[in-house]
Amino acid sequence: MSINSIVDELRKNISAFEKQVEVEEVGKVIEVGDGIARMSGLSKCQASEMLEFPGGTMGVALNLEEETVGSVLLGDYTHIKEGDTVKRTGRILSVPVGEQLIGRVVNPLGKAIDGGAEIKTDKFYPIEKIAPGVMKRERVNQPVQTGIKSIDAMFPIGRGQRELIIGDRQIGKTALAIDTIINQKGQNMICVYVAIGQKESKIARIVAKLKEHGAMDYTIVVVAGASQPASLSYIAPYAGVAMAEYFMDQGKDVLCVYDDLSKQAWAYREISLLLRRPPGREAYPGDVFYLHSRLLERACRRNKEAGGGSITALPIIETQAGDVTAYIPTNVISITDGQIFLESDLYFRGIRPAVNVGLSVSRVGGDAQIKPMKKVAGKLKLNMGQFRELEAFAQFASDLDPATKKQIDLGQRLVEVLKQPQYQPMNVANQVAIIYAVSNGFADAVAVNEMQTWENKFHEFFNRSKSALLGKIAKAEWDDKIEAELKEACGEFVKQ
Amino acid sequence: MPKKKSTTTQYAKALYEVTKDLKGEHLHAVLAEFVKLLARAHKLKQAEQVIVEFEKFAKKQQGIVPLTVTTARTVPDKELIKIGNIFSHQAEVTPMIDEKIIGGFIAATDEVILDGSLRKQLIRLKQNLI
Repeated sequence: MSINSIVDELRKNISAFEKQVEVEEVGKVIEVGDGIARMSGLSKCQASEMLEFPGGTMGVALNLEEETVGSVLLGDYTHIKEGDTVKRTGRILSVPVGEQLIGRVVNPLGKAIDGGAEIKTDKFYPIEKIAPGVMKRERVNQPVQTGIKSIDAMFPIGRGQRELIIGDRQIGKTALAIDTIINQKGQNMICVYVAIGQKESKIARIVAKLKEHGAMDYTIVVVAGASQPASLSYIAPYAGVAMAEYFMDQGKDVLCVYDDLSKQAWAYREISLLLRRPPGREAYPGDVFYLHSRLLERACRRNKEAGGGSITALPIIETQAGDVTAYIPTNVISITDGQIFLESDLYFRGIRPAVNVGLSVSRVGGDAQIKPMKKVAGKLKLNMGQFRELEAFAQFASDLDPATKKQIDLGQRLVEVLKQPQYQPMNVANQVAIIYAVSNGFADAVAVNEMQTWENKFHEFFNRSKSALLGKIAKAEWDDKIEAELKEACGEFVKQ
Repeated sequence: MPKKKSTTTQYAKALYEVTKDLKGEHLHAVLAEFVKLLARAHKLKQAEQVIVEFEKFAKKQQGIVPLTVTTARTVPDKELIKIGNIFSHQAEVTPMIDEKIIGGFIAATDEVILDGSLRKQLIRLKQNLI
C-alpha cells in the first residue's frame, strides 16, 4: 500500500466519522458485596440485562424492584464501591458462539482460559432463550452410542433426549459422561462439557484425558470453577446450551453434559438468598424447578422444517447417601426422559459402571436403539431383574433347584460382562456380539471369575476373523441369516 | 407477624405527602409531630438521611432536576442554563470543571449521562479506525 492510499483511506474514514452525543442511562451503587450489587436509578433496566460496572466488570440485572435494581456480578468486585456509576448496556446477556470455540476451554462468558489465543467470533447468542415449541420437534429416533455396554443395551439414549446421571459422590458419574464424549469420535456429534463448581485440578485432568483420546477435536469445555463467583456457576449451563444451539441451528447433533446441576442449584440458592428472595424448601428459592426445566427443555430434536439438528442433554446430579427423594433430584428426575442411577454399594463390590438396573430407566431411547441391539438386549433387562431377585439365594447354591441355579449362573455372567473399565468405550457391534453370546449360554462353561479374560479373547477373535459380520451389525442390519451367522461364530469361538 | 420497619425513604415520602399543602402554623405543628414520631420509632439518628431523601423526593415531585454539567473551561451562566433547559425548565445546574474532557460538555442527572465531550468523540474515532 502506498503512502498516498493510506492517507486517502484515513481521510475517508475521518470524514465519514459522525459526531454523536452519547446518551447513557446510569445508576448508582447503593450496596455491594458477596458477589451481588444493589443500585438506584436504572429505571428502564430490563430483566437479565448486562450492566457495566467501573473497571469493566459486568453484572446481570436479576431483581427489578420499585426503587432499586439487584444484580449479580460476573467477576472481581473488590474495586467496586458505594456511589460508583453503573451503565446500562441495552444487551441481554449473550455469549460468543461459533466453530472457533471447538477444542477450547472457555469460561461461561466465552473467554478462553486454556492459555491459547483469544477467541474471535462475530456471532453472539443470548444465554436465555425459550425452548423450541411442539411444532418444531420430532420424536427421538437416532441413537447416541455411549460405548458403555450396560447403558447402550438396557437404557439406550437417543439424540435429543435428556438422560439424567444420578448418584453419590465418587462413584463414576463424570466417568460415564466422559466415556460417552470419547465414544462420539466419528459419530458426527459435537460435544459441550459444562463443568460447574468443580475443582480446577479435576477439570485439568478431564481436559487432558479428552485430548489424549482425540476428543477435544469436537468438544467445547465450559468451566465455572469452584474458585469463581457463584454467578458464573449459575450461568454456565445456559452459556453451554447457547453454544450448542448454534451448532443445532446448522443442523448438527450436539451432546451437552452438565456436570453437575446440584452445584448450579447451590449457586442459584446463594445468589437468591443474597438478593433477599424468599427461601422455600431446603432454602432454595421458589423458581428452582424453572431453573432446571427451562435449561433442559432446550435439549430437543428438531424436525426438518425447523432446521433439523438436536441437542442431547446429560445432566448430572449428586445425591447425598443415595437419597433420590431430596428436592433437587426429584425435580430433575421429573424433568428428564429417564435416569441412570449409580449406586455406591455396587461400585464398592467392583461392579463398574455401578448402574442400578432396577431404578434406572430410559423413557424414549428404546425407539432410537438399532435393530440388532434391540433384539439381543430385549431379554437382558428381564434376566438382570430376575437375577437381582434371586441374588440373595446365590450363597445357598447347593440347595437350589436347577432352574433357579441356571438363572443365577446366567445373571452372574451377565453382571461380569456388563463391567467395563473407564476410558474404554466399546463399539455397538462388539456389544451386540458379546451380549448375544452370554445371553444364549455360550459362556455357561466359563467360570465367573474368568469371564473378563474370556470376553477379551472373544472380542479379539471377532475383530480378527468376523469383521464382516460386525460391519453388518454396526450398519443396523439384522435378520434370521445374520443371527444364524452370529450363532455359528459364537459356536466356533467356544470350540476353540 | 412482626411489625415491618419503615425505611428512611418511606418517612421522607410520608413527610412530603402530609406537608405539601400546609402553611404557617399548621406546618409547624405537623413538623413537631413528625419529630416526635421519629423519636418514638428511634429514628432521630437517621433524621439527616430523612432530610436528604425528603429533599430529593420533593424536588422530583416538583419537576426539579439536579444536573451536573462538566466542562473543560469555565462557561458563562447563560450557556449553563441553555444546557439545563434540555433536561427540564427547572434544572438545578451544578457546574464542574475537568480539563481531561478536552472540550464540549458532559451533563449528568441521577439517571442519564449525556456525553458530548471531545474526549468521547476521540475515543470513538480511535475505535472506528482500529
